[in-house]
Amino acid sequence: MSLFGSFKKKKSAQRAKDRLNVAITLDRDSNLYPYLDELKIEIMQIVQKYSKIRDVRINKEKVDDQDILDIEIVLEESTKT
Amino acid sequence: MGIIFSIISGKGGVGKTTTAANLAIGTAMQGKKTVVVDFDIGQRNLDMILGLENRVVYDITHVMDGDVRLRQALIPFKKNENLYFLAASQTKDKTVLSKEKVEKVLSELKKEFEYIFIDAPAGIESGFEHAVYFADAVIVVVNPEVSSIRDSDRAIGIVDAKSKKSQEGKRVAKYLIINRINPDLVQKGEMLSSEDILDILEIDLLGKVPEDQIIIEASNTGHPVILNEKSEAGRAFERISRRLCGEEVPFVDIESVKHSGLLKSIKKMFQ
Repeated sequence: MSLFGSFKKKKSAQRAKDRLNVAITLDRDSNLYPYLDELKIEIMQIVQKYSKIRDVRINKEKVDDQDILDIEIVLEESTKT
Repeated sequence: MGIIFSIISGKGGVGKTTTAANLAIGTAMQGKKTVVVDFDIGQRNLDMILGLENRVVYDITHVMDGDVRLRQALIPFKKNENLYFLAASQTKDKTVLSKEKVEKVLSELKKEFEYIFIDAPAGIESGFEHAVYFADAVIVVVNPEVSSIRDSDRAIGIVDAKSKKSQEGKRVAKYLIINRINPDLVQKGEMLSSEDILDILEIDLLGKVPEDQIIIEASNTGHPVILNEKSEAGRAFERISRRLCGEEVPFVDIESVKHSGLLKSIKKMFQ
């Protein structure tokens, strides 16, 4: 590469490759659990048999190499009393 | 028993139907008994590309509903006796497909034909899942362009999750065709090279097809490019078809620009 090479703008194909690599990595990550919506609905149905609930939140986490699904069930206020 | 190839893409307009038509003609030219099925219910297109639009009487939904027998709906391709075509419905929508009906038609086709090409609908809607569910192998068509590549990765993910073979723990073979390569732009660094695309998508290359003006003419006339000896894209599709028939065909470097004319070589001096 010439002295001025490093000042030159990156060719657009290289930029496309860089951007695609980032976008696809993120896409693949968010598609790891394609069943999340269905799972959420089923959990709600089961818990609703026993208690009124406001929401089920499912968080995806990664601790070291371990994938973790963190499921949080938020109950309705009234069920506490 | 025949092999089912589903031809898919992430987004529409990348040349999927053109690829399906040309590869089907290509394997038929290699002597294989071939059928090509338009699975894009509601958006019939393959009949036009094959030049068979005036021959369609019955379509795949008539067969699935038991209105006619498969034999009555299969349309012979005039230009090659090994090839038959099964049209999509133009009036119904994708909801008419069901797994059971699709399986029945495909298993009948598997008995009759060696190569079955399914022209899948674009994207990842319900029709797409039906088109890939029974596939033995999937052929992904991309253009060297960011949205096509990104969407195709998503479609590949769905094949991995939803196809019958994947669900049975088997591997669905997946192959990539890069369509509409412009060698000039690749050389200038303004178009993703096939190497870049393979790096990103991490699947096996089946073939590279250059951009070719003749494709437009071919679809205008209903005379696919593989039948045109002078077309570079046609030759590329022929090489791919031969690969599908098990022949070892070396990859041609279509990405290097040929500077044949005087004007081009003068231009190059000033680049």
